[in-house]
Amino acid sequence: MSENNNIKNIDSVVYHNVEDLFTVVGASEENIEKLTSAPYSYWRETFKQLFKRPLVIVCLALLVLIVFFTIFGPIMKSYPVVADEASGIVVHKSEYSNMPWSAQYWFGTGGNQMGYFTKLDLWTCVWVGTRLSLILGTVVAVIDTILGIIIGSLWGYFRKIDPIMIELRNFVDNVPSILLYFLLMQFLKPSFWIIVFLLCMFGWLGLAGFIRNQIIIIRNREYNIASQTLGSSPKAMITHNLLPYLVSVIVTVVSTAIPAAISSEVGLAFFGLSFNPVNGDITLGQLLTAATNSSEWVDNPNLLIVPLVVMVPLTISFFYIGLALADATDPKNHR
Amino acid sequence: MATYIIGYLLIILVVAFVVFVELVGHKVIFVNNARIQTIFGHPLLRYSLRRIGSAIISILLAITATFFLIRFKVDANGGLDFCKKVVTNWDKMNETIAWAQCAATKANLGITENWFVDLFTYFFNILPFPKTICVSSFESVVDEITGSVQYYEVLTGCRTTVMYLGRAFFITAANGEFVTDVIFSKMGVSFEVGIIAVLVEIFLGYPMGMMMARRKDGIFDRIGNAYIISIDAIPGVAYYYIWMVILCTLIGLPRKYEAGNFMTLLAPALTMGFTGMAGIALWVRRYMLDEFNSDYVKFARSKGLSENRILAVHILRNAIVPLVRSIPAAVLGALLGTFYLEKIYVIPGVGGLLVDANDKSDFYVLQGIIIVSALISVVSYLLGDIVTAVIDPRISFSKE
Repeated sequence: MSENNNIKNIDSVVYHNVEDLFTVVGASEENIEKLTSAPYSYWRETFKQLFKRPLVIVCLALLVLIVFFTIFGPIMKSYPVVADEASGIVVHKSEYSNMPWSAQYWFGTGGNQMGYFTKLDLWTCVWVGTRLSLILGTVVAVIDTILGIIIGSLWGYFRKIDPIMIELRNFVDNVPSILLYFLLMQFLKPSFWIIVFLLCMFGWLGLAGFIRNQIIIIRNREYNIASQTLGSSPKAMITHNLLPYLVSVIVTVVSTAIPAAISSEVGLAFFGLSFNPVNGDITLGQLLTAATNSSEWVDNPNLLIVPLVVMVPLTISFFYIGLALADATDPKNHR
Repeated sequence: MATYIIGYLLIILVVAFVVFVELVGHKVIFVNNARIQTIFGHPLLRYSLRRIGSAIISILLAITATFFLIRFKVDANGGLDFCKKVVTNWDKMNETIAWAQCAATKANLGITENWFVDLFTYFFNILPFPKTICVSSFESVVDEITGSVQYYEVLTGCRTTVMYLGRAFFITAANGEFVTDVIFSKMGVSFEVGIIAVLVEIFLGYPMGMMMARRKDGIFDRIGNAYIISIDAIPGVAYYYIWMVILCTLIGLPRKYEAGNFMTLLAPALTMGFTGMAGIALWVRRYMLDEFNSDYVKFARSKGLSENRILAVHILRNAIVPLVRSIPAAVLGALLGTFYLEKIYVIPGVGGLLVDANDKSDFYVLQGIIIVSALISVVSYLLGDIVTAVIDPRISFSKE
């Protein structure tokens, strides 16, 4: 008897309580198109994540400030100028060397043994130099990125290229790059595009190798095999399936490539392989090298401090924003 | 004589070993001997050998490329630029005498008209088998009356050596020292500084990474991360100068290097060590954090082990496996020194030698440095693999 009772109880739950639990809304044409969740946009979410960090805003402000001064800094001064007519670069030459910071020379003036920078107004030099360094860094980063993405995705997707590219990478790893720069610069005259060429020569290889590794990891995931089985061309596979997956990685590499290129130029300048400042092509690297080559900075540390004061915030800001972008562009961190 | 016997013996041993490994690996011999198959047919062993082989090919390519670049430079403009560089007071000299001196210098360097003959001579000289090299110096004497030039060859000396890298003419005394001697003497200086720096790197970098991993997002982790970011971002040259100002100007360590004075080694070694430790700490932290959620850590924790013990014994031993591979490279890399540091602290090491040789077009020295640095990277590969195999019981060359 009790068994029968139990069955009835279950029946009552299964058959009779269903309509009490739910209310029937009925069909509605309007609601079909509506999403109940909040609208999602990848880039909007990325920027939202990015600006959550106060340090990012500080870094961005610093960058904007530096860019502002690279454009307007040299114009702010109206001193008797010595114009280098050949290059069109205008520099402010003082009568005295090793001047301290003053109302007239905001960053002081260059030391006696600083070659081209002797007696120059450091304020002007620093901003003109930062301008060229920034342009150089951006151009090199863009070229490196484009080459790195194209070659890296081909390298990862087509297995046959792999052995050749790995040999190339080993070759570059085995030979100190500064030595190759030395040898090449014996034939080449330093100009903007030559320096860009030198810095790009092996710069793309790092990004290409990185993208290759990532593509090899995700190449054989189910969605890619399905896509391939349905007959996607290699081009569609790379541009639609593989690269969008790597957006986060690529954005990060690009933003860290700019400070990396600026640093590389400083390295070149240190060995005297960079631009010839006599032509008016001043970079931050040259200013630092000129300051360190003379021994005057021991008595007048200002010569060393001025380029560092601009260079350090510049590179750190770029780098930190790059790292923050790495987190912000990762969809796993969204919401 | 002893050099010959030992040299050839070593070559035979190495060749026999490589052939044996390849044959076993391709299952040509000892197919049924399980023990030999596991030891010599181990994929890791064959992989290392392949990598060394490809490295040697890239060294040869690099040598060929630099050789042609340099020769192009020497022969450019009918050899005039080169002669003007190597003969002092070119403009004030009688043209015949000047050209004769230049020709004598070229003969000393072993430069002939034919690029390919020179290249193969160079390859023969650097192949590592024992050989006796006799070097001689050429002197040119111009007959005042007839105007003809005569060359005298003076034998300087013979030496049995394994690898002959040519002679350095422009950066040392006129006689032309052996490039190997020059590089090795400079290496000693670079190594003195470098080895202390590597010790600083390792003994500060590992604890720093551990401390950072221990309290993720704690105060120490934040400071450490800021330090690592700043090292990555700021150009190396600028960074070295900042450390130099701190160490020498503020603390008062001596800046200029003096042979035999330990105190002068401190500033460059600490500069290099403080910079290098950031890279080590970054990876130690990352690998340790990866291990935190693994089952063995949870198990150890649930057994009631202290967090310090788990960190120092259980996690560290697993986390350092991928890291120890780079230790041989760091130690051997110390032989080559750092270009920037050697300039800043006036250390007469390999980095300075490279710049000097480039300035004075001493191309055998340039090529010698390429070869030595490439050899060092090959040996580091090999040692890195061996160290990894030793430290990680999961990788084994023998059967259980």
